[in-house]
Amino acid sequence: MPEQAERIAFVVEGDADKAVVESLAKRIWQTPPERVHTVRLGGRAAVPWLWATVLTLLDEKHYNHVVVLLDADTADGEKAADRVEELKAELLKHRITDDSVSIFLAVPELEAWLLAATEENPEVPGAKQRLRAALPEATSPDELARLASKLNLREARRRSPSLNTFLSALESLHR
Amino acid sequence: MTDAADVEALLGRERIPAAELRNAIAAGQRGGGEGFVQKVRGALERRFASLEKPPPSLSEQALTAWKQGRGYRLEELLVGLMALEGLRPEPAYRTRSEQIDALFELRGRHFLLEAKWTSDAQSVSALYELWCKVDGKLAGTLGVFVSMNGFSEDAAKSLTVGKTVRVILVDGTDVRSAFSGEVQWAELIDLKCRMAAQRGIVYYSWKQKKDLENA
Repeated sequence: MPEQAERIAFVVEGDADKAVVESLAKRIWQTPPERVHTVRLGGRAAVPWLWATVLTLLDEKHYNHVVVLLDADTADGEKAADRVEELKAELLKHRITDDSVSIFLAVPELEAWLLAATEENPEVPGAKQRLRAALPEATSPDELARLASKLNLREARRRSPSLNTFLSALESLHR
Repeated sequence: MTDAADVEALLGRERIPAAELRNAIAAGQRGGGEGFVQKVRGALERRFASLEKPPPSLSEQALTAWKQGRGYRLEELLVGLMALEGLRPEPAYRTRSEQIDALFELRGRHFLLEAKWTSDAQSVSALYELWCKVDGKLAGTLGVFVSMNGFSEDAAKSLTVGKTVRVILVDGTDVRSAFSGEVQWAELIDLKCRMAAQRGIVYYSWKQKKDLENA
């Protein structure tokens, strides 16, 4: 990871992820980096070609660092960690190293991070359904961004290890 | 002469007669009525939007039937969209051994279309089925698999491992971009063919293209 990244790109799956990530990043970075941009892959089917997206951002668009955030789709922390290593290995085949890209998985999915406001143990299966049941309006990106902007980060980080890992990395990336 | 209201009436039917829709759109375009394309595009967008959420208070049985039916409606609306763009679509047809959801032409190349609106992402077997259908057709024919709820990572990857790329993938985010008028269907297919030719990427969304352009 570079000491101070000034051009940071996020790569996420869809609109909801973009909304939440941008909202959280605003809260973590008191002084924002010179340029922050989010690329939506569109769907899970794009993941095998993540390397192409990352290379475009680094080589053609000149970002110093790319932060990838995907859903783990498992509540098993070990499986999620293995998946991160697989994704890193795939990027390494294209000579993309840890210096220029960080990969994170929301366990089991991004909605669990928002549930960390109210649930003691949000990283269990079914986070998406539980969030919808608790807050039916929480399907629009604007609403998800609003929830992320009001999340009690201290409590949420304590309850959701994957959120804590992600936010700690953002803190190290840019102060 | 066909006008936009005639097309809208066809779109309002519970089962959209795809061949009639295609012919009505073609006739309307020849007639050159004012704002025809824009009006029909708007009508297609509204009909597509009506498929996003089931009508309220359906019984469980009726809801299941409605969900099954919307996959067919999607096929029919795509035929309408392709007709509007002059891609000479052929609605669903059967051969002795297979069902093709639609056929269209773009820049002299033929495309077989498979459209699914299921609650799950499409698996390897579904994609392979289309791959096999394409394999038995004229050289240069490609498959377009449309799945509103996307594809599993493995399924997408399987299309490129040890095989010639013959199928490209379109998911719900792309379809919504096409019906909203953000991108033309032809432009979307062009983009996907280019990425498949250039880098062997069989799924590349319109959103990703726009986000990377603006990066």
